[in-house]
Amino acid sequence: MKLGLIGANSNIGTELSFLLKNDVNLIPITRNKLGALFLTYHKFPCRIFDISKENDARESLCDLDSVIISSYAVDSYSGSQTRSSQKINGDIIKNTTKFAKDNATLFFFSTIRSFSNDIVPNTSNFGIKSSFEKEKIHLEKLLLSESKKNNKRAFIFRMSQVFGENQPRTNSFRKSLSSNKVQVQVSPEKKSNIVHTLTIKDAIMKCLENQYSPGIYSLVNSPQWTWKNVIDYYKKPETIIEYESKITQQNEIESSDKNTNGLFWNLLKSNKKYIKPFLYYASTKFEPQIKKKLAEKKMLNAISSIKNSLESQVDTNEKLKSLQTQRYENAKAYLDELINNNESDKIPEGLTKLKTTTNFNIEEFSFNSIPGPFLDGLNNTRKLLDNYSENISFNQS
Amino acid sequence: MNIGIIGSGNITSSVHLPLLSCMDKVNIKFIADRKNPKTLAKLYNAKSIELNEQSSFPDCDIILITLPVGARKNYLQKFAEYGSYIFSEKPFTMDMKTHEDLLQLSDKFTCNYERIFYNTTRNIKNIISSEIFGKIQKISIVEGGIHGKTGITKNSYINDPKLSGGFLHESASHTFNQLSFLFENITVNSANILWQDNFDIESNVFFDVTGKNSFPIDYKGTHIKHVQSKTSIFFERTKIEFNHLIPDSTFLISTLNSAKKFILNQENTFASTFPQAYYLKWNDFINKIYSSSKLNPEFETSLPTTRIISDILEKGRRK
Repeated sequence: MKLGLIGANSNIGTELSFLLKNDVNLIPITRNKLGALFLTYHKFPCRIFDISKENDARESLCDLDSVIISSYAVDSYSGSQTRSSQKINGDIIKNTTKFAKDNATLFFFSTIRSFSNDIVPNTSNFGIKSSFEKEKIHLEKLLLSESKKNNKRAFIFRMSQVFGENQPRTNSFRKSLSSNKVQVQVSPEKKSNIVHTLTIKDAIMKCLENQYSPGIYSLVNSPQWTWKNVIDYYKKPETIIEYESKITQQNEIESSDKNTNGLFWNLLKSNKKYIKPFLYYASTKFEPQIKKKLAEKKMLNAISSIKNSLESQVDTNEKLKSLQTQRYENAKAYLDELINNNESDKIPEGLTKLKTTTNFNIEEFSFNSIPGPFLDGLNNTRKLLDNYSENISFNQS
Repeated sequence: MNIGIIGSGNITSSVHLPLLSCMDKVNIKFIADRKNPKTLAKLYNAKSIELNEQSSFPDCDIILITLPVGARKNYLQKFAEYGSYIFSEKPFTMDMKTHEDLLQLSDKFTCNYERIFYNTTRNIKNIISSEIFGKIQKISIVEGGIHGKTGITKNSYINDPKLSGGFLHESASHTFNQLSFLFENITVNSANILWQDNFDIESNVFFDVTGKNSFPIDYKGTHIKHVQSKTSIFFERTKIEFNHLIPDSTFLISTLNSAKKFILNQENTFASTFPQAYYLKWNDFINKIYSSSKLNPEFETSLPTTRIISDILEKGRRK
């Protein structure tokens, strides 16, 4: 079974490459040499091709029995969708369905946001979807129609937060849950929609074994984890967790109030906020002008704030310097006392104590449980995590 | 101040042009590249020029050169011979000889090492020079990470180490510039480089700082592991940690015998954001030109940074 992985240098793509390498004949595909470096260092047989180009796609996909599409192009400057990035995403789908082997099984990673604001509050205003939602929904439809036309089996996984050793979110959870005490602003029994890369791999393998019919599926840990399960798994053993669901409920109410302001509130929020959505619809010939406006806005803000700061310094430079020196001296004196085991309650002006209790609140705490259909019969995620022994050296030892 | 630009890549379109167009008394006269940059030039009301043997350029006060380091030498030479002020993207050159030869030609160069305008860099310089925390015993620096999504095209110059210079030139040069800004006498003691497809994917370097306060620096730049980029400075009784890659890092201070950390508060007077750092760099160069003060080209182009990279490549060469 030759399985190609387009976008193998994405966070999910890289981790799946390691997880799948012993089960299939895995061919990671990256657009450029830089993207392939880490995988070639680990002896993966990378193919460097731009699948949005017909010739590259023909050459690199024709011998593949199945293909995972883990790439997602965005405009590198705005981080949003432009007509140019939409064309790249669309061409990748079209070329993959066209050039992979007949009857090949294809996988596409979509998002919980495709369910709109029934599941993800506060993302849509007056039915206006973000460019991310719109693009993913468009690509889902495109993949289904192109697969039908080109005789391919297409599986679409709608996912929320992905966890795994190469996922930035995993590190950020570990970091946030490492203080002495953390106040987590969600109800512990509320269902999370998280999915681990090991479960994504399990789903892919079972689809390849023809256990399911092609289509759109929601993918979460098996069984679905509560937020308490997630927090307990990633917190430090000694960290004390306090759940503050009341605050969350209050936040939800406040957020939904905000939502009724919708478009108007968003328009007022910033220029960027309302220039960016135009990029989704603007013809490619207007993209440079819009990007120029965004870039100039950013620069003007930077210049005006630093100019103010420079002007206010003119008379106070020497004063600031001696104030700073005094602070260093106070800090030094305090730390010297600490070394001699004389800890004073009064922290000097030059120092700030690190918080021992932190608040932890993320947008996903307000998400409702993702509706199905789900892939039945996936392995227990916790057991997969406990049994996975291979050491992938993503992290500094 | 009329500015001509050689190179129309991402750094030109997303940083230099929007910044320069917002600065007072600056006019973009032309934009030149191998592929005629018509659209970009039109956007900034500048003349577009296709670079080839016959290209001729309007007179300008400053030439900004953003072509990849492996492709810019001839243009640095050409405009130095014209007597223009030249603002070059970093790193200035690939090797010491080219760098020194260029400085023989002109003293009107600067190179875009903007991190010396970060609050982070200025604050640590103040901390060290105050000597309040005593003598430095050792410094450890870690930076890098696994490349995820690159956001670059298949044919971007960054994929070719002959053009980009690899990671030491492309990214670590900023850190070495910060080090040479902080310490006058810094030399490479030993270096070990891991290579993959002609890319220096991991470098482990030991430096010696000599002078009134002598101490070692160990540096790791890796692209094969996730790391938290950080500089740790060990004084006699205390340790200070910060992220040298960002303009407004928090400084954490602790005693050597305790895990208890505090934030060392700072008065920020330089750049807190990346665009501010670019602005201060340009502003500094333009002010020096206006005031007709003689530039110090070794400092402006950071000759010590080129020396450090050349020494690392020499000591860490493939055996």
